[in-house]
Amino acid sequence: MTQSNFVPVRLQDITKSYHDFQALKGVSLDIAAGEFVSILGPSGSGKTTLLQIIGGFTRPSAGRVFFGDADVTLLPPQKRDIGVVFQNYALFPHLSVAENIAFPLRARKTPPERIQQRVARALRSVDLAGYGDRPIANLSGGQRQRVALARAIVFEPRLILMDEPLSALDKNLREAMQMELRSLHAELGATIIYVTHDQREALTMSDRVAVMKAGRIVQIDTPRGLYSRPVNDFVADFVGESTLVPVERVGVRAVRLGSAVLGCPRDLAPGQLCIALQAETLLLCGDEPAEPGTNCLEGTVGEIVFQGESLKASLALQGGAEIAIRIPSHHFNARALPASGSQVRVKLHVEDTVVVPVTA
Amino acid sequence: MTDLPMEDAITRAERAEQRGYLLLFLPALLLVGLFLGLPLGLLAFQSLREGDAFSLVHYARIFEEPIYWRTYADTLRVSLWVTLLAIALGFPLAYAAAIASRGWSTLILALVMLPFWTSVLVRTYAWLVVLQRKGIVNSTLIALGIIEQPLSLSHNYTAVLIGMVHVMVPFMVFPLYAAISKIPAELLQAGHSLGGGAFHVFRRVLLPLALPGLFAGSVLVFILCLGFYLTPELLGGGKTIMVSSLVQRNVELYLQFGAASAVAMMLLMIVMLIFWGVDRILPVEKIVGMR
Repeated sequence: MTQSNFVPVRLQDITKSYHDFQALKGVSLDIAAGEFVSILGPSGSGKTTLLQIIGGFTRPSAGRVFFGDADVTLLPPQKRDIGVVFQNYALFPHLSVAENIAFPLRARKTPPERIQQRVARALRSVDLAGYGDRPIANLSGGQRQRVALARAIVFEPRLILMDEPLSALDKNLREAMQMELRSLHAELGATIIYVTHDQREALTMSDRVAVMKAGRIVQIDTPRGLYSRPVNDFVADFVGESTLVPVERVGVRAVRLGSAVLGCPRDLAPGQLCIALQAETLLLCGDEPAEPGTNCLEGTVGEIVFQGESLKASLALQGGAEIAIRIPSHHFNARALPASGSQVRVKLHVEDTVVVPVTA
Repeated sequence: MTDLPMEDAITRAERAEQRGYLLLFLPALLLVGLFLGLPLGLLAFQSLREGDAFSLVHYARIFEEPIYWRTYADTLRVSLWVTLLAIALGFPLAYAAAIASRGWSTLILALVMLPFWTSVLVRTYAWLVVLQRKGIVNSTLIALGIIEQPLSLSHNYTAVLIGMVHVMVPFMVFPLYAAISKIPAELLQAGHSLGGGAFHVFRRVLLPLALPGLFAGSVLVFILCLGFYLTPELLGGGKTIMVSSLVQRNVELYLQFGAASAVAMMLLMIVMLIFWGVDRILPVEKIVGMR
């Protein structure tokens, strides 16, 4: 790409109501040019509605959408210059791969020889050189995904929107495509808004992630920030593999869980608190006294399940809470594996001790 | 070799299953054979008879007498016009029904269906009343000051077209609706998001994907039109004569069963020729098989 058209995107207090139902309740979001932002949320959180509004397929009830300095709130989709990658790719079944990719160029009345060049270049950038003449029906899921991507970038759009584009792929392919999207993003310098309900996908690819719940953005942060500093129990529960356990406040930076007192990295928020115990941050340890900067918990091992790269063990804490821990399944660990029913100690770094306020 | 009896048993079971299917198929086969195949054979036989001998005289007459081949040309022309008008009226209806919410969609389709519940005869007479010199159309237009003299809307070609299109629109709407409602909404959204205006998306996405339905509807309407009798007879005022009227006259006025049979057979052959030609240009399997 010689000169980038990618723009910053600003959403200003967007609301959307359907009859009595408020799908979006005042969403504001600032996205820098070239930034990869994921919108993460469970189904019904309003993320798809937000995407539809950015794409121009739906009008907001109130609020504005800016691309750069231009207010595009009232522009129809065909005047927005957005490359959209749809969930089911939305490739035109009656057109070949090359004709699909040429569609946005034809719509813009690009001269034929330019179309050919740019289609060829787009095909190369998604590793599909030579596939131009194939019918869509003959492509695999991953190849369709690439064609959709090529079609979305070929006309040098101002913004790329993606609506769970990887959800139809199997796990391995999905992870490979995530890495490809990352590098494509770096290569193009594209502003990308990516909608997903898969937290891992969001964390893998994004510069920042906006977590949505019930029509609002609950938190927007870097993947690392989201993971280690969730603003409340909803985000903590949604991001990572954690179990929330209510705790009692015993100091400015200390909480009690059962008989254990746990130190926290930051001052505690007011109100009811709970701890988000992430399975992968809990490490089995011996009876040695705790090092500084380490919190310890005790519990009884329940079921241990082999899950391939790791084992997942359930742990009943004193006080009755049931949590999970992950143990890498290599043989260095085999000797140290606890037996079901045994009493164990696990340690947790203070920095990984995530205590969040409970929302209603 | 021990498993050979099992293989035999499997083959026997498969054969029994096939015989079962054949039995289910039999009633339909008998019905078509007895009530379509047999009469058609008789018709063909009759068309080739003159007195007690075989002869091609009935067919020769079709080519020799201008009234015959002109009627065929008229019939094809009327059918083509009705098909085009049914597309023009039916496409927007089918599209609206396909994209509307469930409630609206049901309403639209019900309204399209409604005329089906009234006999063609009643509807044709109703049109006669509506379109006559002092009918509701003319009186309204005069009252509105749009025209001064009543338009001649009945007992002519226009009336025949109006009446036939009215009967035919549902046959166009339903196949089109089926095809359009199968097109994922995202495809149209994608078309727009990629920069396509309304016409571009219609031309490049909607129309090609609706083509199987458009094709099915057009063939259905066109073929049905070729055999129309009542509507043109009543609304045409004797000026627009269709092939079916020709058959009727030969039978009722002249008692020429041979001639009537030949005229009917000729129409059948024209239909088959059209099918064959259309299939050559637009292979049916390719259109239907397109995903």
